[in-house]
Amino acid sequence: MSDSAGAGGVDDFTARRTLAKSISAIESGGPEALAIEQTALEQPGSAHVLGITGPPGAGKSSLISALLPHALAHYGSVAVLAVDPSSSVTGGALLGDRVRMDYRHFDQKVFFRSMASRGHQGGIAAATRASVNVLDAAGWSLVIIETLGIGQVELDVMALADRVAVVLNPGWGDSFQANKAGLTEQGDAFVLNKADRPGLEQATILLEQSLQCLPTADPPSVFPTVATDGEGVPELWQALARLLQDAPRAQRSRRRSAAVWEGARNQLLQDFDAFLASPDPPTKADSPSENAADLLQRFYQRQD
Amino acid sequence: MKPKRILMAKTGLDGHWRGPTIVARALRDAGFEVIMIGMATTAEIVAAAVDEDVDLVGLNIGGHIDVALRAVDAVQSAAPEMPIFAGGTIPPHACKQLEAKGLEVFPPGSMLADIVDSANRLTGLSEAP
Amino acid sequence: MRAKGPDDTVQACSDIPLKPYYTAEDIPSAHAARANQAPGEAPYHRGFHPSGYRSKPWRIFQLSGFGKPEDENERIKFLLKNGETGFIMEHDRNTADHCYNVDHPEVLARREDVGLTGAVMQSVRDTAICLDGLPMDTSFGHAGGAVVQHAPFALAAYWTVAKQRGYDLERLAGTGQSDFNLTYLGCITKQQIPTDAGLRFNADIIEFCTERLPRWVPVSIAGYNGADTGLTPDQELGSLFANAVEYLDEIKKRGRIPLDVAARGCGGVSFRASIKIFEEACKMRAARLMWSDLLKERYGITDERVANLRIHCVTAGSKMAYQQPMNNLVRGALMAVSAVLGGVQSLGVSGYDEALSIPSEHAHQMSVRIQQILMEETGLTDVTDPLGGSYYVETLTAQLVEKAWTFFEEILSRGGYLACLDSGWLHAKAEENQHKEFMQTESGEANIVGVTMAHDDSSPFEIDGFIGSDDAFDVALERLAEVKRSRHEKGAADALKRLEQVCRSDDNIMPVMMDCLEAEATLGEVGDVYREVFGDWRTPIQS
Repeated sequence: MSDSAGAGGVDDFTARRTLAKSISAIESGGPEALAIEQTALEQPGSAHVLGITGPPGAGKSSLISALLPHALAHYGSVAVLAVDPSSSVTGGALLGDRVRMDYRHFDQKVFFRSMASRGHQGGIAAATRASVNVLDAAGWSLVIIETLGIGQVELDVMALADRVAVVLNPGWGDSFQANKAGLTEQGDAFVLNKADRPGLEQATILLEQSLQCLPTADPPSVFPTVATDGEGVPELWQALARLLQDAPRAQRSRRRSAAVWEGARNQLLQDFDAFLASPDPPTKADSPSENAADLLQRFYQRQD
Repeated sequence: MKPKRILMAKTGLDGHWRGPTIVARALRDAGFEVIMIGMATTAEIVAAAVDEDVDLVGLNIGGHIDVALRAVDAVQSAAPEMPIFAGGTIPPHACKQLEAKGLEVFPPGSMLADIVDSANRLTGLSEAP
Repeated sequence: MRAKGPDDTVQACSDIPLKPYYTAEDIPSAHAARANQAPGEAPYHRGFHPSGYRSKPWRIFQLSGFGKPEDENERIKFLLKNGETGFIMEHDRNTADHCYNVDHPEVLARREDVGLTGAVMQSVRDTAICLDGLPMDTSFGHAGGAVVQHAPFALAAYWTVAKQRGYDLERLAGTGQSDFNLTYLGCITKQQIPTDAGLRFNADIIEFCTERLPRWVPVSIAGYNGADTGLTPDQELGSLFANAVEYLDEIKKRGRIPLDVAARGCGGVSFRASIKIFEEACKMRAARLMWSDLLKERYGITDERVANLRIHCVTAGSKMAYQQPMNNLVRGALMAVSAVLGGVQSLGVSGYDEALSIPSEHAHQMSVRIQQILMEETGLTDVTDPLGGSYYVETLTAQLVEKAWTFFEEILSRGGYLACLDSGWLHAKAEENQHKEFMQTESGEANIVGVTMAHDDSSPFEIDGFIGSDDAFDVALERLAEVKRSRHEKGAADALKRLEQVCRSDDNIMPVMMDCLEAEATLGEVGDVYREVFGDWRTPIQS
């Protein structure tokens, strides 16, 4: 990974391949994934991370495509991680977010990666955090995460991103009501995309009312956009850029801690599995009454 | 087992989506992660194949064979180990040109089961028969 | 190819179970009373003219074109010489469908594709070359413009050439297409104006033709493009009329022209003639009945001339096999039979090389010959609606009508035809049917001769795909530079500026489009105005 670290890494073809392969290794999981992330965390990083969430069909991908030229002008390089659902039956997935991208902005400074959720809950993939850390170390200045968009509360992206924009549409009042408690707490900015459709005014009022109820002196703003023709996008970007600039810088260390915790948790599980499989059987056939507490106690004694 | 990833791209500007959609669906149902890119230029196909680090590139070809050959050459030069297969309205002379570059080719009338078999083989999930 | 239902019953494509045979009792009673009407009597499922093909044979109307405008001109002349009785100008899809000039980056990246599926016509000069020596005054011409955003340009180019040649637009007969099914469902372009802008374009064309070109068929809804994308015959019917309703409601809302005149304009449609002979013939009969009922019940229009639905039919391209392509001559002929039995006014037969390329000269000639044989030798034209009164045909016609209205109502309940394109609901329906059809073939439930059975690995009749001319791109690039060099630059710039103003207003786009063509504004420049004003349609599909 160290080859591709630093701002220069963004432009280099070999570095891109290495980066892409690192993300594949992370997706495969296991000790190699943790090692890659660990190495990345040793690099200095200063990326901003923007989460884009919202229900399916709200226009998240189109909005990212419309934001790209602005983000590039501001940050110089942008990486996008777009998460789509895996089929729980076959494990396969159709990842279609690229279709919505306007490739005129895809010069060497845009990295785009489609990620299947592979059964992970919470709107992102298991590999998303580590991928963010790797992109950060490789010198990508802004990382945008597009969540699954299954319409439910997707909290995991809040733990990862410096700021989260929630994308909604006018005229979906009913499902909005159902979701508002969770959704309003998720976003730092709210976008009413497809604002040329009927119901914008009513949706804006409803949304602003809900946001006023939040226990904060400075509730998030609502931005109308039409991603497909760029209407309202510059205003939205200005606000997002300011939000990202002012974001508390604790997120990077939180992402780092999460990596450490996950490493520790995985190691612990591995050790425990080894303990269960050890020749000295931890559970004796003739003592079915042994409880979990006893088992753990003997495990920890063994570890000492 | 980590699912294999396949990039599906159209080389031409002709938007018939029936064929590629049916194939993508069959591949997804067979457990692949299928990354759709739609109509894409050679440069866009290569960039996507690299960023997405796919195990296989699928090209839907509907126009002049030279446009497709350019995309094949570019992918093979950027990622020599990355296999490619192709489908679409490809006349016999063009099939031969693609096969000469090591591609498996599926003209109209190909069975989905054969396409899925090919994807399994090309991504190393199964042995050649 | 016999599709079986769950309990081994035989099914029509429209998911209607078929009995082993039919009797008078099977005909639904509501239809039985109407079924006895003669051709020329409402509800017209039996046709509008009692004398049918005896007095007016169908138009032999073949899609044609490739390469440079002069290549296309040569092919059209070849077809006319061989017996075609109208002509269709096919435009290069790369440039026309996207309103790009050949120097657009998307086109430059695929320069060899240019001219492969139609001629490149970037300015009125190119259109004039393509139309050189063609009988615009006496023949029914199809100006192209199948894709919605291209239609105003293609039509204005054709009409401008007609004016330059001294023809009276009032007397000019022809059509474009400007079809939503093609543009937003069947063959989705990389870039396209949104559907609401498309609806506005089509309403503008309908109004302009009503005032200036009364003999022109302003828009032509193509059920074909829905069917060949996967819609079943009942869905093809239902969606076509849901589309027509969208046009007519818009015209009514605008209130600038009489609704019955607009309805007459919308009544030139096209359907796919596929391989299930009886179901397809029934579909054409059902279409006439439905149009007449729709106009009466929804708009109170009973004028016989307005209710006269004129049907152009094209045989199903997707049914033409790649393997053993000569078999397609038989398929083409049989699909044409279904159209003729259905009483259509105009017909195109796909080339036997359809699955390999655009038609070669020989394939084109055979498509004309098939039609001539049907017309001259078979007796198919002797009697009007020869299937009328058949227990089976009348039953299936009535069942199709019923299912089609159900689909129509479902589209309307989902916000209408445009909303169903925007949401991807129609695409999902088409995809589901396609998937089902593929699975039937894969599983061996349905056979395709030469593909899933009767294999022939070393056919002596193998053919290769036709490739047009190899200089279409280079010539187009030169001509583009020449137009820009030699035209009156300020005139073109002014016209484009006014086009932008009109696009931003509610005014009709066609008068200023005529000005643009006269001022030799080019296709890509017009497209740039659209992209600036209207933005891009967000396609609901993923590939």
